[in-house]
Amino acid sequence: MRISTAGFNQQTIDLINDQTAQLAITQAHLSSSKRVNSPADDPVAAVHILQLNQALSQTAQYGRNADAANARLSFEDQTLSNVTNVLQRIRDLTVQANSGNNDTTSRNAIATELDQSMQQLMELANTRDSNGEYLFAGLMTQTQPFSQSSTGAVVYSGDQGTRQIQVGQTQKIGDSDNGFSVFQNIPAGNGTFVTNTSQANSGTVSVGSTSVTNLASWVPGTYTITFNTPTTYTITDSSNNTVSTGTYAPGGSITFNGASISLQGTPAANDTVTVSTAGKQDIFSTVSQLAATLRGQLNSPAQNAQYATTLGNTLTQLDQALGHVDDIRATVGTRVNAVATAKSDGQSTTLDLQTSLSQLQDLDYASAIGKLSVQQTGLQAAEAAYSKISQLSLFDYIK
Amino acid sequence: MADLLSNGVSALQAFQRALDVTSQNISNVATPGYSRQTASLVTNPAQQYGNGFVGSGVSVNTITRIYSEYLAGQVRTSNAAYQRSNEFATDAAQVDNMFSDPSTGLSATLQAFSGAVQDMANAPSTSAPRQVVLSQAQALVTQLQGYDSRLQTLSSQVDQRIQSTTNDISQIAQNIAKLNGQIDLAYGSGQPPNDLLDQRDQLLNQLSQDVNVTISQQGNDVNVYIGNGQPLVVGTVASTLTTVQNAYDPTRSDIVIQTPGANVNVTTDMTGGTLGGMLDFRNQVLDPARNQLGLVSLGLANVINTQQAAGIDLNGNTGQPMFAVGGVQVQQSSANTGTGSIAVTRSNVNQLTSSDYLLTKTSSGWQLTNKTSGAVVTMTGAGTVASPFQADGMSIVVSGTAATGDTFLVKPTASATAGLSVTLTDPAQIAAASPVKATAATTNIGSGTISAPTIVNASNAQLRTTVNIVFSAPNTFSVNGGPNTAYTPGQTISANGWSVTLTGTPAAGDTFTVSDNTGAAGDNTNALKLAAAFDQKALNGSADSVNSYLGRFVGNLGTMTQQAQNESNAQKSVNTSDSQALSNVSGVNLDEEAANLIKFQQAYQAAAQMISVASTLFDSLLAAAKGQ
Repeated sequence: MRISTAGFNQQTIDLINDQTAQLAITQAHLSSSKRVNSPADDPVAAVHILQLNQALSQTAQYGRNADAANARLSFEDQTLSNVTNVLQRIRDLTVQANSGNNDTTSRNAIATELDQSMQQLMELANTRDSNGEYLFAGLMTQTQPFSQSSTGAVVYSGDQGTRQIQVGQTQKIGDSDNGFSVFQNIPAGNGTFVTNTSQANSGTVSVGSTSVTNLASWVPGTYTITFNTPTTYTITDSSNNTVSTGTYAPGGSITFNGASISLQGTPAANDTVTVSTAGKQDIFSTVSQLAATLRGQLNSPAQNAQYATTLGNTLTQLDQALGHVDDIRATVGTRVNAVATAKSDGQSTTLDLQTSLSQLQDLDYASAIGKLSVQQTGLQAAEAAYSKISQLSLFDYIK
Repeated sequence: MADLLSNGVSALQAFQRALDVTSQNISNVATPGYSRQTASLVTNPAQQYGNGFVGSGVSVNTITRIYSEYLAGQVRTSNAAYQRSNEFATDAAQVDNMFSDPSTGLSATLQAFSGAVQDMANAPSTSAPRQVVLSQAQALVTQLQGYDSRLQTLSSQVDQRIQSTTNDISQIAQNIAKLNGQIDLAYGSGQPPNDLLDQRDQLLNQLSQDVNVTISQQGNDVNVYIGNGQPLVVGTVASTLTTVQNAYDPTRSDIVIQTPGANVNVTTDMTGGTLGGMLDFRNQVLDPARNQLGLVSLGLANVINTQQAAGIDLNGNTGQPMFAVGGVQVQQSSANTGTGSIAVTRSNVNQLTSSDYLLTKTSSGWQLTNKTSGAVVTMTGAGTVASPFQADGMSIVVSGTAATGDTFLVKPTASATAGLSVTLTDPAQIAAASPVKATAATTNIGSGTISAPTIVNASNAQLRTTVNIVFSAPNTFSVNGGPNTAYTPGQTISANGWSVTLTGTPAAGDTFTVSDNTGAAGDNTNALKLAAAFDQKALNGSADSVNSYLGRFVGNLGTMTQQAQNESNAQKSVNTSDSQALSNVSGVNLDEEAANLIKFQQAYQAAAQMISVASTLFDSLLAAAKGQ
């Protein structure tokens, strides 16, 4: 086979060029430490890398969201703790007011402190977080949720929504509770029924504690216990049907339809005690009613009985409120845990994603450097061979 | 006279010529395109004498050019194929590299936008995160437009190179025609003009680097045909290949060959060589890439704008569109004779494709063709304002009087990116909140709860009117005083474009209200949907989301570029071995020439010796005659 001089040179130069080009590619990979420098290097891997990066950035975002949710929930927990302290103080004041040896001055003093506590509660209910958003306004976070009208009644101007924070691909966690559900949606009475003595009573009967002995037999409605004589009573429902009758001795209790009410004092004839289905009480009206009661007149035994009933009901309400706030704090705690779990799940997901990403796009340094030295050797060999062979020429031997 | 002296002289002359040829070969060892020559030595005719035929020496009758037309043809073919795939691969790699970087590429910017919306969703009533969302939207627009303008720049660069390559081809054709004439003349002398032949073959090689050509030998001329048999060079006449403005797009060049009759458009017939590579690149990579980028822009604008409209902003107004996009590009052919015009809008982004379309006026109406597949697309409607033609997500209205055969080029997605912009300026206009809220009355006694409303149809006119759901009994409710409906816990109630779920046990008299949500500055319900918008399947007939479509786009580019690079490498090795084969036949080997030098030198010396012997013989004869 014949070979031309120019062809032989060209062939050698082409081979050396090819090897240099390969060397350059390996060098580019080593400098960028990536196996995939452009999608053409490995198209399937390139798309996969794109998707992994998307997932990584989303997971990082969920982590940031979890931090935001955690901050809000911790702040709410702290605020609710302060609310509990205030409610506890109010309860103590109520017990003090109910102790029996309070004259007008001390009752007024307690009422004044109650006013202070009321203001504290209002302030806590109107707390703003570090972003300037009202904590207990539901979703209307730029509107002050609680305000007092001219009559002194507390009005809720927020809504009943809860903002959801996305802490996972499909996981959303509420980052607050609205003011309605914290401060107003509290069961009244003992949760099933409320009892009241009539203002027109002339006897000294007052309500002590109440309980539900059989929830299944309780029929919701309004019932009136009328004392025909100081020792006998008739219970009628709202359509004036007689439900039951019975006798009463001071300190005894009346039970009907699964409801048990213990009474103290002596009723006069035609005194009434009403028992009605429990609705919802808001904590602010409870406290302001208490203050009004404390400032009222206590001149007659009947008024004393009324006073005792009101204070008894208030204690029941406050216990309900404390329990209610505790329940909410428990849900806040659960949510904080859920957020922490979501965040740590996110961290392990991030680790998995980064591992996959590294496997796809990172250079295997050992094999790349091995390839580099093999290619270097190959290039050196080609160049050495060329320099040796190119020196051979017949012209050297022609004198 | 056949004798020692004249034989010697003829030998001297012949070997001198042979040495000249050898020296020519040695001098041109490195000349590209040089075919080695050999002196063809032939015995002179013998003289007849009584005692036999006596030879009369040697002479050179011609100088032969060692060349293989077959191998040369192979080289031209493989060269054209290699140049085509090399050009295509190099250009495709430029586009491929644009979209490759994972940390600064388009995907990262889309994620940054979604991330900014999520940050806003954590505290929607504050203004700083909202401002960041608008800034990220602007960053997205800037990046997309950067890509689009680089693609447009590439397109005009390719167009310029097409023009200059076409001029090159014409120039080479002229030179070949001239050479044909010179070679004809030279052959008249009876001997082959080897150097002119080498020149002509070089030109043919250059030509095949630019485009595929077919060669045919006609006598001493070489005829060159281009494309689908169009004659480029016939004998001494060369046609001119030139560029004209494309019928639809004045910024684009078409290739025509000028014949005595009229110009023939040969753009689609140009295959192979760098010209074929550039045209293929334009058709298969560049134009589709711009269209697909446009579809990405359309997709993201569409999902964000639609989701904006499903929510309300900080002022209580229905969300306004956040992005505007460029319109549909319509170009009419410069060959149209009628006065018709068409207006095209996009009616359904989900049904758009990344192809271009041709709308043609036929004798019976209008026909829409998909330019990429060539398939006819069925249209519904009449083409009027009241009932536009609908097809593939486009809405077409025709007006004026078009003549039969008039055509219009429709590019539904190509200009979307160039016209992309952020239309919201006030951060408060980002619609983070849901338009309606659900409330349980504060006087409710039962344990019933109502879920937050889901928006089913944001364009319902009654969406934000108040609706009351009243329970007359624990198992019966009525909506706004309508008929009594039985209630089961977990039931969904829909009205006015929203739906809610009721759970638990309501008591008689309990009321739930769905009403306008103005003032809920902290509501992030719609913001969460905005953040997930790029994963919503709203492209390609709901088969793709913006994120997944981008992935396919990058993957397709990568695959095409990789295949082009592989093909280019394969073609290169074929071309290299073909060139090698030709060079082995017609290339100069210095060792061989060195041996020839020695051979002819010795032969010359021997011939010189013959003359000296003849001279001695003559002297002997003279001496013998004189010695009498």
